[in-house]
Amino acid sequence: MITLENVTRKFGSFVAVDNLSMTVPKGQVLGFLGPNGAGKTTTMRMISGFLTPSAGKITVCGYDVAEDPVEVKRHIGYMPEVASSYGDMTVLSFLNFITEARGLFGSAKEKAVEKVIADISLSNVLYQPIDTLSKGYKRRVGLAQALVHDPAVLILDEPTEGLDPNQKREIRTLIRDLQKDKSIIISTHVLEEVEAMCSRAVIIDKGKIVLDDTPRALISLSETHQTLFVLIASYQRERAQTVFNEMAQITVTDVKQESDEAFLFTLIPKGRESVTADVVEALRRQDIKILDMFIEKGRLEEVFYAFTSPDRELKDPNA
Amino acid sequence: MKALFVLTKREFASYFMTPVAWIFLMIFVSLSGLLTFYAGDFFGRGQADLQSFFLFHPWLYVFLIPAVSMRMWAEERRSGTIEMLMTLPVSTGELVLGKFLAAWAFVGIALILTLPMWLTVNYLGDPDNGVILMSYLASFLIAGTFLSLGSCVSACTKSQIIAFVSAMMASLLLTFLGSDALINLFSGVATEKVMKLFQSFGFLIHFLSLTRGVLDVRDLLFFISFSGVFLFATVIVLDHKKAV
Repeated sequence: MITLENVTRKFGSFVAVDNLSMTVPKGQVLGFLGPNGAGKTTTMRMISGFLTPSAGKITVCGYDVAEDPVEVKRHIGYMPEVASSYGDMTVLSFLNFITEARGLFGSAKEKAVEKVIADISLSNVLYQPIDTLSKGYKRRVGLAQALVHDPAVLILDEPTEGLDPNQKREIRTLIRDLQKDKSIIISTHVLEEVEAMCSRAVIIDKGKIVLDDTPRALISLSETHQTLFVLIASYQRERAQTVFNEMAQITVTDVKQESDEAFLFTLIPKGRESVTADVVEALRRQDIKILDMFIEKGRLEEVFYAFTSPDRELKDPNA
Repeated sequence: MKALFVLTKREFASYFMTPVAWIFLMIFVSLSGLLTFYAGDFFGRGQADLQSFFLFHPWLYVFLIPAVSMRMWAEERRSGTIEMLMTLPVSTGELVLGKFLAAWAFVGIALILTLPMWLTVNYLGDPDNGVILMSYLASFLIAGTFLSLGSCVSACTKSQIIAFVSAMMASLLLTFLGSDALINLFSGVATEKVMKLFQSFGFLIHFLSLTRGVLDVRDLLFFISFSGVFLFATVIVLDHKKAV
């Protein structure tokens, strides 16, 4: 459980985080999005107790970060964006060090270290100095040090950066497994990742929250949301065109010849509701055969761009 | 307490992962020996004591201790590992103390490696071993004070080179404060009272009085409180500058 109340952080005259408030309950995986310099890392550093806010209040598991930083740190697993481990140590000695520094000794320590080694698949590199590992393994060691004490709150700053697709998949599965009894905040630039593992997405820009909803709801804000692509046989092209023109709720934005036998129509609904059923029904009534059809769910990327690109004021004065 | 031990243990082990540690030990032991025999005229004095050995310790420390302390915080800040370190459930004070104790223990090892000098005088003559023990204690104390100064300087910068040079200059100044050369230089400018005050802050005077075998609590307190002040300053600097 994490609560931020009107949190502001300034560096000199630069406002990195501007009056930000949010609550992350247990069981939630919050995807933290935003362009570079939006204040993601600063926010995460404040929650983890590394930075103190200029104003506002942060509590983690009921403890105030400003008043009881050590207790807060006990309940958090934090993976910084850069250098989350000592390069000159071996993986095993580093994990032992972190576990002891977190107050686990003897058999409790051994169990915790063994579990995290198995969970993150580090057994191949235990005796290698961390400096000699690949980028992916370094990230995994960073993740392991954040997880080893089984914290109630996880703060991960770009955990999958530099990993290959297989490793990313493993990490995602792992985070989904951890989800049910933890509050997790993950910052990332990989938008598909937010769809894959987060139950909530928050986009911040210039230190302020610009969007806060489920990933699915955010995607529906995308311009291409509910766009319909319909493949029609060439000999029925004219008739299909007429049918589409007669339908008030859609606009045909593109007709493209896919092959000798077929044309692909791109239909955009005028409202934000799905028009799939109407289109299928209208075509069937005219006996026009649908060769293929698919619906665009929209892209988080478009929403991200629409709300955080530098020229968004020009395009959308309400944003 | 347990956390402090864990931190100290890791820091201590980390010294031996870099060549700096071995170079330091080698240079300290060989230089302290050479200076005793050549510059200190160990045999010529015809005395069974280690005065000429301990006399050079502060000067060796001025150059060698900054090499030990430069890495303490500057490297953590440069590489970014400070973020991981400072989100562990330990206080900044424990972190500072852990690093300091590790470095101090390391210098302690260097001192232990000079024990052949002690064996030598005991073989050659009949020295006052109480004085020698006191001198070792004094040397260890002054080393700790230089280390705490170095710790504070290292926390101020991300560059080990800057940390090294600044710590060396500061150590040199504090050592010189009590020396006759500085007194003579300023004798025309400052009043005697001011000079006396300056002199009381000089490391050398307090060190020399201890190595003569005079156990004055004020000298001990001088080094201990100086270290305390610098370590406390390190905590403040870190809390203020860690993320910049």
